[in-house]
Amino acid sequence: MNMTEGLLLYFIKKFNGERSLSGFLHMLNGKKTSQTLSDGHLFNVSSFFGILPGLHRDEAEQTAAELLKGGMICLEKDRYTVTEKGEKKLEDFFDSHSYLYAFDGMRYKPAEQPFYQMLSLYIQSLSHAIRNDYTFFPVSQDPAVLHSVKTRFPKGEERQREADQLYREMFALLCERTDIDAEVFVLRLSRHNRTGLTNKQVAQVLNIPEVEVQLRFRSMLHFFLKKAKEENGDYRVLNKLAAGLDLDKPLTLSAQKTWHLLNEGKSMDQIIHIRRMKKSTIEDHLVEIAIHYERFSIDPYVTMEEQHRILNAYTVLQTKKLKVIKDKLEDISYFKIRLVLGKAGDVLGTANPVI
Amino acid sequence: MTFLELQTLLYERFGYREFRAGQREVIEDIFCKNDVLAMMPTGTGKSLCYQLPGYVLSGAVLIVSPLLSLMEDQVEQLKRSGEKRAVALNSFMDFQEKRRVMKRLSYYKFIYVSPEILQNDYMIRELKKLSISLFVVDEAHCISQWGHEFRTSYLKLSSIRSQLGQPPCLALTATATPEVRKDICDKLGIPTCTEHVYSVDRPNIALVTEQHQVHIDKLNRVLELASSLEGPGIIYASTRSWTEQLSEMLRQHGKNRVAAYHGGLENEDRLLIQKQFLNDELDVICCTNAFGMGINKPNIRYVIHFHLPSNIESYVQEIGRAGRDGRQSLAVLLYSSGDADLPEMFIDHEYPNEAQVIHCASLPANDLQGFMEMLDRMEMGESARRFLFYQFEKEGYFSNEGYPLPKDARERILSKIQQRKAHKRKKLSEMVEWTKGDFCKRKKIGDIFCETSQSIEWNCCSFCKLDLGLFYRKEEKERFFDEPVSWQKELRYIFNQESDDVHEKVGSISADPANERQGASN
Repeated sequence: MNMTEGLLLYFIKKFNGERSLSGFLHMLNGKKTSQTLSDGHLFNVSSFFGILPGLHRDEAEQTAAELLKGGMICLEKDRYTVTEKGEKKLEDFFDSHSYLYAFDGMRYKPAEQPFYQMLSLYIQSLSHAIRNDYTFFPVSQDPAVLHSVKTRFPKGEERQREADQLYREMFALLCERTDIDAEVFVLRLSRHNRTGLTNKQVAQVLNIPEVEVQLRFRSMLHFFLKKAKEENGDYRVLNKLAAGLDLDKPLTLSAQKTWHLLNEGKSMDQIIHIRRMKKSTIEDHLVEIAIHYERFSIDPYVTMEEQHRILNAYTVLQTKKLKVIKDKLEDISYFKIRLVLGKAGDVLGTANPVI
Repeated sequence: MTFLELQTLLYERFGYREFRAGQREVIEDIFCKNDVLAMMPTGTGKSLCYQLPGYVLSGAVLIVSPLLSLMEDQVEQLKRSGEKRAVALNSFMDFQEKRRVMKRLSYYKFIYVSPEILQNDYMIRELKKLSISLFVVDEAHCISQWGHEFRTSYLKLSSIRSQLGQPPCLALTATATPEVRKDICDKLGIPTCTEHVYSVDRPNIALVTEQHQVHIDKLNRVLELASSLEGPGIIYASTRSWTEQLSEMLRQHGKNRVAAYHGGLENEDRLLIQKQFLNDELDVICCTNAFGMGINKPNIRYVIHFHLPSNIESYVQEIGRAGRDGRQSLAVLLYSSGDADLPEMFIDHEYPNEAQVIHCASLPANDLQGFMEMLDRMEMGESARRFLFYQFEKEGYFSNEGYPLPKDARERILSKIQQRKAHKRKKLSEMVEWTKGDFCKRKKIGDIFCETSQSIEWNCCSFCKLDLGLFYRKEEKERFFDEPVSWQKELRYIFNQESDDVHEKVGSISADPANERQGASN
């Protein structure tokens, strides 16, 4: 099974017939909308947000057709679900692509490229500077990246010490991964006497598919970012390089603005007025915020009684199809239902309907 | 400034003992505040002609450059040589970066700009605050090549120069026929400039054209050449997919140090492949004409054209990338019948077709953005879109809101298209004729550029006397990652952990996996 098939199968399983193919294409592509953000949360697939950025609709449909032909999924009323055979294949798929577990698209996708640019230029510069070679061609020409590297770069004597430290950090992290992940990663880097390879070239050297190289590499970047942040102190240099990257802003830009206004104590109506936006847009923002910020209380928007009724309906119906829940709760708006399900998302993991 | 002082400066700043042909003459003219058009073959040090005066003139040097990568390469080169006061300004810079640079614009000696960014009023206001001592237009043939169609910002350079206090103008190009040179002077408003024209002929590049019966013969031939010629080399093809196919074919036949390069690659990959090639980590690069301008690699030994370019100027420019170190190099053009169809098609696609023009003209003018969006939906190429937009703008379409384009204006545009296409077809047939004709290839190029290049005795061209065997490789190069990769070894090398005790320490840690994490916190 190739990468697209495997990942599509995974999404079909997770969405379990509750969204159409185009419903999760944006998700795979990493397009940030209120819908993908809340779906990611609701169906617990946020970590694979943006995992196949170039996937076209045609290709997705074709892949789905292949899966259908192979008996791994079935199609009913325009909705796909996974068959038993598909389940089995999916297990095998993840067994041979376990690096995907380190992928965390919702959190790290925006930081991927800037972090890689910075890390690779930093390492290239360090690798040359400690050998007193200053005449190399920098792998990045982006003035902003050059500037950031320059402001973080150690002076004179400290350089070898910095290299020793970064070596230890990377060695420790690469040891936690498979050899092939580590190989992919080091081959992509530029160093003294060697320019980094492109994904395609790494694929040729290691004789694995290019898309796999790309995903292994991106998973490693996510892994590094996570470690750099989590274990602050142990990974001093990586932490320094990751500092300032957009790591903790899971919201769409527009929702971020709404969130700022909420924090200034503005009411929903005031925000609609200030931002000159439609009510429904601001409602989308609130749903996003409910999903991502624990300290955001939904109580001003939904009464406790309504919250209970919504959660009840969800537990009884066992579906994330809003329409079905809405039909049951005629007098409660979609907005309120989405807000409550969004807020409760974490405890509503499919296997764990606690309420 | 005396000649001796100039020479001292040349050595101290650039490390050369002597000027190359033409440099001194151009520089002396600049010091006399003359406008200059200099045509010097690639690889003969054009940029020195404004960089050296930069150190003598009191103000800044403003360099208009057509390509982002070209600007960045120039700035990078200056920085590598220790000149920090160089900067490239372009529309792709992010806002913060731009603000940072603009705040200290007066610090810079060499300011590279795209013609497009000079359309920005704010930019002009800031530049006016500086004293600009020299106004350089690099790759000036682009004015003629692109200015008419879509880089229309080029046509406004003359008025911008006068806004900046009419500093002396230096137009630089590697290849321009007399006709194009005249066009450059007209468009830049420097009719009385001094022309320094040095021959486009590069005696150290042997010129070979080969005609093959069928396409497959060309494929076999390119494989044969790439396998036996001394590299590094460039293979030009006219489409992205052909560059990929050629590179894949060479790889299949055991040539590992090959990569494809074209505009469809991610920016990051393009940069890596460029650097690999510059660092001699690749032997062959299969590319479209997106590769080359600004690539300053002295030791390129051959340039093969798998497809023919659409005019002889482009051809001369592209093969000019070989042999910049002055050593003997080779240019091979492979031709089989039907090869002209592709460039013929490109010419058609560069312009909107008649139906598209008529359709657009029939619509009442509304806002600019709506118009652009409509063009986007019409499946036109980038240059066709820009052409159409510029022509409509020129005819005053947008200032007449609510009205369609008048019929006479429409006819003018249609006839302009016919005219440009006819011109380009003529250039193409000149190229084909040069490829197929029985004459000295070198002399013929001279004729086209109205020069008096002569055949040379050794390694002139495929019509004169030539021994291809001279260009064959003497020894096999080491191959690309033949050994299995050890990431541990790589990582040690990256951080120079081989020689000192850190290596020892880590070595012992890695023996016991439980200690690995400690290794990181040490």
